[in-house]
Amino acid sequence: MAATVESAAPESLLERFHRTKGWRMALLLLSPYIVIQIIHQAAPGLFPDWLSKLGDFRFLPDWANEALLYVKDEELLGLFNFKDVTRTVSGWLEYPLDLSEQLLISGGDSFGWGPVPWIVIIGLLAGIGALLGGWKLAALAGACSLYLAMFNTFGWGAVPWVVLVGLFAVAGAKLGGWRLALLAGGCSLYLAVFGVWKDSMITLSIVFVVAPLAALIGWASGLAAVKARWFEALLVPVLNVMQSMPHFSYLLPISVFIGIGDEAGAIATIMFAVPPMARLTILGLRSVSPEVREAGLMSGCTKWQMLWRVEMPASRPQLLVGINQVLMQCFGMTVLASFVGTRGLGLPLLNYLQSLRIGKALEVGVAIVLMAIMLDRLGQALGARRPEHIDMTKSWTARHPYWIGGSAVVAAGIVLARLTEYAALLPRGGIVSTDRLWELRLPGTDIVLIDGRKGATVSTEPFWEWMVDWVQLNLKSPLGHIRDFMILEILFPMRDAFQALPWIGLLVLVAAVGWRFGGWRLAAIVALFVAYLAFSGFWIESMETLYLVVAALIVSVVIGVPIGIFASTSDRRYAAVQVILDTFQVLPSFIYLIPVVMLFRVGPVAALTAIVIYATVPAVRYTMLGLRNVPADMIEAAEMSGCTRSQVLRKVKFPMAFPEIMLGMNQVLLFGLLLVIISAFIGGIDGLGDDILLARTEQALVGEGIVAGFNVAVIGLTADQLITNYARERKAQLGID
Amino acid sequence: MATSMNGDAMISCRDVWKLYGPDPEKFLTHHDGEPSIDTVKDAGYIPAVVAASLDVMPGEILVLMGLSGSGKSTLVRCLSRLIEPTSGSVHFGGVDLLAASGRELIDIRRHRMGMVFQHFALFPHRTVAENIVFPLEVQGVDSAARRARADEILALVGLEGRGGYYPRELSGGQQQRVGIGRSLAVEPDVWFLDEPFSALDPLIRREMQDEFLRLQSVLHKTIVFITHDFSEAIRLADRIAILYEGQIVQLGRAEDLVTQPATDYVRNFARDVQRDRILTARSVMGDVSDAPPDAETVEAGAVLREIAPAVLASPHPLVVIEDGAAVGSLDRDAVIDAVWGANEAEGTHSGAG
Ligand SMILES: Nc1ncnc2c1ncn2[C@@H]1O[C@H](COP(=O)(O)OP(=O)(O)OP(=O)(O)O)[C@@H](O)[C@H]1O
Ligand SMILES: [Mg+2]
Repeated sequence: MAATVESAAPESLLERFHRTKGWRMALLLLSPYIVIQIIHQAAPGLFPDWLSKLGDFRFLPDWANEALLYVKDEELLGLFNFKDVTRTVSGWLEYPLDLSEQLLISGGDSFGWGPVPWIVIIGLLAGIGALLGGWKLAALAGACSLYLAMFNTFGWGAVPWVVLVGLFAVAGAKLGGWRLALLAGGCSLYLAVFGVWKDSMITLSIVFVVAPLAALIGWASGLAAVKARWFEALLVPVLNVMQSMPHFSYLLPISVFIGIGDEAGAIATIMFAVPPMARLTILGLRSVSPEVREAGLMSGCTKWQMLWRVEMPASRPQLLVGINQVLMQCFGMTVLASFVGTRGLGLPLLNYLQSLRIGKALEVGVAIVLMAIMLDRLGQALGARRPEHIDMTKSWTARHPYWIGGSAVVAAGIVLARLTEYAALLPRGGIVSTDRLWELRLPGTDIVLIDGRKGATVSTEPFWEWMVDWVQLNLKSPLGHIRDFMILEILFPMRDAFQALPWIGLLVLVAAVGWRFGGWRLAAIVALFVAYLAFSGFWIESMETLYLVVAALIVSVVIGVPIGIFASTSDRRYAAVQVILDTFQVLPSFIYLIPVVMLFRVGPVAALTAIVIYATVPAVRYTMLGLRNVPADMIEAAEMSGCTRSQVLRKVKFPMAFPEIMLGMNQVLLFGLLLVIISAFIGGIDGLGDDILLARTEQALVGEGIVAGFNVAVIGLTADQLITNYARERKAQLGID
Repeated sequence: MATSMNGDAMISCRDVWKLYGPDPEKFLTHHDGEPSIDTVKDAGYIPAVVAASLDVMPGEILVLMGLSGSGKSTLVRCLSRLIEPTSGSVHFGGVDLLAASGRELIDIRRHRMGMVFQHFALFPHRTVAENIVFPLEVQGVDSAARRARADEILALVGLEGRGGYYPRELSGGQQQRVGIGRSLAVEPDVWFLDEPFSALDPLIRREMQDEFLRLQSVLHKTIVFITHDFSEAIRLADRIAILYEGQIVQLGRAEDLVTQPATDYVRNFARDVQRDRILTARSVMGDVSDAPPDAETVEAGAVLREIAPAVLASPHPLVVIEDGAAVGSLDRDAVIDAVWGANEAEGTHSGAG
């Protein structure tokens, strides 16, 4: 208040406006919108229809369709045909995809070495390995190519599953000790034993090809952005849009140009995984401390030496985090790419879900979860590793236990596989026979938990089926009541309210908020976004999507914020919740549909639940983060002022954490938007997701699908712009970083 | 203001400016190259270095001192051209550094300059030995020669047996030894040290200062050393330059700064110093005729701490001699006044301010 006394000059209206806070501000920002609503309701005659709805505007989807057809079929600039280009690229991918699949699962001889003797190729690969990473990489490259040569020349099959399981365990041991060894070995053993080995290895073989490619492309573009300003100016907005596009928007154009199949999924996956890598590369290179850079300069580095010997290695930790993200994105996307016919773990899940074989779906779902956890933990452990000195007084064997262990596993596994077929190959598709050989019952009942069938694989399907039956039997009517109540009393009224919004009203509201937190520039940007939505021809669908996401947001906040508050109050809880959240986050979004379908079958409540499960994770995380980051001395000051615990929370911690919590809301929204499309798969909801899904099967609707996908991105970007600007301003006011 | 370069100096800079802000070159030319500090600030520029001129003689230790943000680091980086000055000239071993091409600059850095950083700036992905010989590696020196050199340096900085460790496995003091080792790997003529010991604990800092003096007594480098600790400056410096808002407000021996501070800012730095360790007989002596001709003698260059017992014990003034000839006299009052009197005067001064 001292400030008002000091400034004798009359405050301008603008200044006073900027000082207004809380509900007054909310009211101020809402007022133009309320006026519009009143006119709209009270005097419909005054309010032209086109200001309210632009439903018949379908020119954007049509344009998109025509543009796609044009690009697809005509010669671009009279030079080349776009479709040819994409087909060529997918042709290139075919070879490594084949190779990797043969190595991991199918074995085979369909690729020839041609006239080049294999011994030359082995030497070449080992040599490249030696150049890039010393003798260890050389040994690895040599061993792999030797194996490839073996299965060509001597008719060896794919790498025996015992070898792979063993190698996962050894890698776990090297990266994270015996716990990780147990985890990695256990997870891969599950895949082997429960009949999903083949599908999981197909998924893995795709990931092994696309992840390095995506990492390489992302790294190169990040590097270029750091080294050339103009490229960064070009790249960053593209990355922003790409990262707010839902997964499906990647699949659609791909399916047009490539068709369906593994290559299509691979290309979509690469495109999807490049942005985070590019971002983390930029971040990593930028975070090299200026002093370290100067140390490089003072040592007389040329530009090239600077990059390769100082900047790149010094940013290694960030690059490894990036690579882990790429790995997980690739895994998730490969699973999801089953929507365009990519094989692997996703395809059976999709089929089982569609045919409502929940038990089978759950079994595959567990496999997906385990594989995700395994890959993520291995990747994280790799990223967390820091160099350590080697005790040269120890013997060579003592210094390289894992290399020796790994080699032993490979050797023993290969020998074992020669001896017994069971160690070599698991039968295709796991279960080949329907005859039960044995079964494991819940003691004292006739509930079958696991059954063993021909081919040395077992299935947990009976157990899951039993569980699903139990749920159906016992929870059906209460769940049904909940569902009906939600739909009739909450969701439908809410949807109608959203759809009754005149677009001009939303535009004015969004622009006002934008103006408050980011000035005219932001106001113009977000207004443009809303105008785009209105003219896109998908206004109604956009509102349908928005309402569902907002409903999910509310539920997520109601659930997530209290959990976050609770978890932030002790270090142990905090750590425990953190682990759970991290695990949830690496699961492919697809997974969330399984339990939901089990509980609610189809419809908006099912979709809502899926979104809520998925989006509660960021709500909890950001609440926790915000509360934990409140400076300790501030809390002490409050306690010394005599605040009770709840007062500390209400009067100090919560206001301080609020901007961070708002950033959490932003994440919830973005997560929700991503899942809304997948949820359309459950059916029973209209909206953008539906159009996108339709476009998958209907070539003529692809333009619609792309525009709808873009609308999802635009909704996300609008919220993102408003919230991040708000949080930045508020954080600056509070003096927190 | 700008005088000609000193031909004997190892480093010689004249009228060096570094301003941060939009198009600072244009701003400087617009004001004929010498705007007042207020003009600069009012125009929204940050004056990091303002019209700095100095010479560093071969074998000399020049210490740059000043508060945080006074431009020490920026000045040193202008001298090594890690930062491009806005205007002015810098000569390094007779070569016009600012006119040097990229290739020449790399050559100069590879062979003639070494630098130690406040936060050590070690390469986290390299072992201690690999850090130390990094400058040799980028020159293309073969690995056998590098290994030999690494062993030499490890011995020199007292890190024998740690060559295979990674920086994060070492303590702060040890890390800075690696930094020092790396900066010495190519046997540079000039050694820049930017607050090398600030990040260390007081005890280790003291130990590292001793280490530094020991190294210098063997190596005889030309040194530019940054610190904001006056007692460190006094221990190490031949001459001290005091910076304030980018300007060199005074440049001279420690004794000059204590006895004739150019501004209150300099006086403030010198306030807490133990004057008896700095002041010499020469700077406080009286007229030679005051002492009886048969009195004992003290050397003109001796610091008061060493000669005070003799002076205070003597009932009459002592004779101060330089090169065998009597040049002045020193009595009890003069010593007491010089060591304790000034503090009182200063107390009055700051009380009034
Ligand atoms: N890149 C930059 N952009 C803008 N201002 C800068 C930049 N680098 C330095 N400055 C400013 O120049 C002034 C001098 O900075 P400098 O780092 O040389 O100070 P210093 O004396 O080394 O301080 P310290 O003791 O904290 O290291 C400071 O006011 C600083 O804020
Ligand atoms: Mg500095």
